[in-house]
Amino acid sequence: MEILQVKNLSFRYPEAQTKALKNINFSVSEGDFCLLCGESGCGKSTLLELLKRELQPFGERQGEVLYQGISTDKLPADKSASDIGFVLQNPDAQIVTDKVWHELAFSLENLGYEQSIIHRRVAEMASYFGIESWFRQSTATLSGGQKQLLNLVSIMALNPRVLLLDEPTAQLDPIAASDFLSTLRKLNRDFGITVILAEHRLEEVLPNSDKVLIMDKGQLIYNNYPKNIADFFSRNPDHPMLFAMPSSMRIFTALNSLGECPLTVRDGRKFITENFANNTDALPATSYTPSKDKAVELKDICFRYEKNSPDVLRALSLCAYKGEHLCILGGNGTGKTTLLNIVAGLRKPYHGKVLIQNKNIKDYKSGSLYKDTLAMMPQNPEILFTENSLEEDLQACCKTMNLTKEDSSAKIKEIAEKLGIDKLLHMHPCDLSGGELQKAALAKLLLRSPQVLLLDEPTKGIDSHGKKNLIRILKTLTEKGITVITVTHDVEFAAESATRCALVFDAEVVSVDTPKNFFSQNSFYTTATSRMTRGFYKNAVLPEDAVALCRLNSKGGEQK
Amino acid sequence: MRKGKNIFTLCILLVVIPMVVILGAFVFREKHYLWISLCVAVLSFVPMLYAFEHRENTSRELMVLSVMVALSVMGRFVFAWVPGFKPVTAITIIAGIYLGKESGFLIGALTAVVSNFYFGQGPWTPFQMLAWGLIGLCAGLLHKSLEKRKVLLCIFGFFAGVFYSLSMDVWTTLWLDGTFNFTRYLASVVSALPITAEYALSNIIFLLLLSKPIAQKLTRIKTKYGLFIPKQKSQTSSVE
Amino acid sequence: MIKLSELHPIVAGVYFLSVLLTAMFSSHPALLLTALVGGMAFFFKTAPRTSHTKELCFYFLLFLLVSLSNPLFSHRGVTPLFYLNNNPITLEAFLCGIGLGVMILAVIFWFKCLSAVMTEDKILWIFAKISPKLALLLSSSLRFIPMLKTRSEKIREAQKALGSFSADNWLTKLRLTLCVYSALITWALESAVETGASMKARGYGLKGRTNYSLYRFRLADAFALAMIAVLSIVTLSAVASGALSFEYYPAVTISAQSLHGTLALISFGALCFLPFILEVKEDLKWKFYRSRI
Repeated sequence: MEILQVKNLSFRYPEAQTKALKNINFSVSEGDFCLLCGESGCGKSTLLELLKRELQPFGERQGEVLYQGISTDKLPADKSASDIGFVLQNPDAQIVTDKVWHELAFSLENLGYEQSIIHRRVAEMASYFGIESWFRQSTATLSGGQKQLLNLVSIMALNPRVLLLDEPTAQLDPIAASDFLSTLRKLNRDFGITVILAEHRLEEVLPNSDKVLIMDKGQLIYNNYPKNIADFFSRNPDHPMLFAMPSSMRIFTALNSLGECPLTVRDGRKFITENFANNTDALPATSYTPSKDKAVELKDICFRYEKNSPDVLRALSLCAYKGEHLCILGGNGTGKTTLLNIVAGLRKPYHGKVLIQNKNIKDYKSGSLYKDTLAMMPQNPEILFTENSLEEDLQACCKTMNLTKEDSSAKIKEIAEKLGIDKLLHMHPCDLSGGELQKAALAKLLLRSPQVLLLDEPTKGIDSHGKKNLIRILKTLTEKGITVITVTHDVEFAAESATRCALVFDAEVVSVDTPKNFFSQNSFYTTATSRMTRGFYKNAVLPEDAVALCRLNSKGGEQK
Repeated sequence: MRKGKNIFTLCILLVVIPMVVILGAFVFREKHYLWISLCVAVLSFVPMLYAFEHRENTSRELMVLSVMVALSVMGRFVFAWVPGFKPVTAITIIAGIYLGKESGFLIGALTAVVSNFYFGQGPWTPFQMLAWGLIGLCAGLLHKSLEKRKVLLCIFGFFAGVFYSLSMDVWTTLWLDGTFNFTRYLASVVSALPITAEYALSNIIFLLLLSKPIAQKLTRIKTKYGLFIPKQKSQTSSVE
Repeated sequence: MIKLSELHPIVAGVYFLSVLLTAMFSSHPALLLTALVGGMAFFFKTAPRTSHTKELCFYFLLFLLVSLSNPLFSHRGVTPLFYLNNNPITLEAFLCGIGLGVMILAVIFWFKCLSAVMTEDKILWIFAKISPKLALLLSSSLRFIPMLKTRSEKIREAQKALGSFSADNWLTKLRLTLCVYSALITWALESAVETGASMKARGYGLKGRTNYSLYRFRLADAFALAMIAVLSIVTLSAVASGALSFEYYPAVTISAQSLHGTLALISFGALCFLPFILEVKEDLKWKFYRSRI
């Protein structure tokens, strides 16, 4: 039975030139797990918001949305509120009250349930989702993953039939994201709840979905089973969404293969081992010799937050050479961000030395470090902006550098064009999307032409297109001799963009190597392609590597 | 059921409260000025609360009010390193001007409660609530002139600081003496003179520094999401 | 009976109201002293054992200030000790000052106990009974504050590393603080709007909203409430009838001893020491249990 039907839905925001949604038609059957994907700005969020009556944006709408055959506009208010649940991207901003128990009860209070019913429902929810241990805590003490789970559970208390989720894992680390998605999967499987999930990270979600919707510039361009996507991409081989797809599918399409498309690592491995030989099992090794100049050097760094707390970093030594992109990887709470803050001079180690451009960080007096040497991009780039438009903000920044008005305008123009944000300069920083915001933040940092650039989780909340862009920008920067140090969870990003990778574990740096060696020697903490070809090919880390090796091994470029 | 509850509430308002005041004045006859002033401070919230409880606020408006309270309390933390120099009154004034008189009153009064969760509740809490609430209310009433002329805004800020300090002195005197001892009042006003000056000055400085940026920010979200629009206007816009 | 902090908020609220009102509004030295000692006993029993001496010194100074300054403002009384600028400094005014000092300290200590016992949850419960919407507003403010705190720290670091605020003087520091505050406001307003959306999506604004609380009114609460009510009525009736009246001016006069007055003193003593006794009882009980385990 169809639970949601969207008929000829179009939408235009007030004062917008073009429609945000153009004639969308699709339907979702009860119990489906539906994946909605597309580049940012394609209208995913608008579509999801239009499905939930309470969140409909202001603007001009045509067409209709039917829930169980009734137009959502005509649904009774309480049914509309409780049957269709909505989880937003930002885990923090959705929480209303200060205590976990109150947050769980909040939706039930809104619908006017009696005390005894609320009590039972809350108890049941807390037990099922395993949140009894933090039931009485303040919501402020929770981790990002816990917050997002709380948001989900407080919606589940209303017994929704449909869950709409707008990139719920974008702000979470991979482990929390994976936990969240498996909870979602469980709800779908065990209770038959229909799920429509907008996501960037497809590697894990796509194979488990019943249906995939792909949007592009306000139109629905794909609406079918996941296994048929390969056909779609073989017809549109240049579509940018291909880069967001799981590695196995990218390898499959790049080889122009026929048959059923592999979606998981397991199936991808099967596909490669069954169809290709491994006579040539490694790509020629490309040697990498870093430049001799040390840009950043850490010597025996020890750090702890308080006198009696354990060491966050223990005798850590690390070196970044001029013009390289060093990626620091590691699990949650291993001190990666602390390490970055130490390099940025925001935290002082109690033992050890930090050398920036061969000069002790202590000798950079009164902020001269930040004048033209080092810049850092925080995890949430929006906190760099204080003015009401991007241009004003960049101008204000130039003013502190004592540039004349003409000089600064020229400089802003140059950098904005290079980063492709010259059309966004009049916008308010809060109205930019994740990828745009990040480019804007980079522009602000590059105004001072730093020699060392530090990035904290730059791929958080950014789609594959934005990621590709970032990789391209970072490449041009490193070619100019700027040293980039990135802290990230994103192994695919590190594999593609880094010149060297380092793993931080248990307050120390465990291994430093080029991404090829680093990821082909790791067995678990590595890319999907590497897992797919483990023991078959030696150094395939990126889908392109695997494709090249497959081509080498299938004489004449055909499948065997 | 609902109606019965309303009548019950009305009974409380009309019968129980005056009884409490009269009985209290009788019981605490030695300090009945203090008692009555405390009652007046507490009771002056009743009409405001009643209006607030029955006004239709969108959830977004409610959250903007709540975050303004949080921001004004945060002002005390962020500027903790400069003694006496706090933006609380300035924020209340700006909120009153741009979000309306009721919002100004609420933000002022709730800031007192919430910040005392961190800095200690005391018998002064109701008076602090009333003083800040009234400042927000007046700013809302005078919003037309305060919005346009910076000079007036500064003068208002100055008097708000003086008013806050003087009214807290009234409370101190009443608390200590039970009756209004004028010499003591004068003494406490004089001894609090540096603090009063500090209040007035920091209000002026913060109004000058913050009024424009906060006004821009509030106007931005007001227009973007259609918040805090007076009734008649919102009806016409929904017709469009 | 169970500990005060475990009682229903309404019971704890009534308790503090009655103790505080009596302490604030009566001038009988015996009542004030009982309130002070009771409050201090409970406070030092429950508060963590740090910084007590410093706090005590501060309160002692406050006490001295209030009691010594009173004769300067009040020249009533019939027993002049000496003259200052032709104004009499009277014994009555001096004694009245001591009474005031005791009263202020008692009220301060009881408010400290109140802050410890009446946690945010309980105060919000009381607010929710008066105005549910206001309670929700307060609750979300209390939720925003820690969020804004972490945020402001992050903004401060990020802005510092931008290099615009690099000089080491207070003016730069002030500019940095203002900049952080301004960025905080922008961000806070944006997230408030998002929170509003999440509230609406969860059905906020529908008719007939109810209020859920974790507190149940148990038999122990009823028992405690009855006891507190009886003790308070006995005390307050004595204050009202003048059985416990105490006048400093023109001369110190104390009401004649009466059964009513004595009973009231005993009840108020019981009321003030009740939480302290309950704490001690609880300690002993656990000691006893542990020795049996």
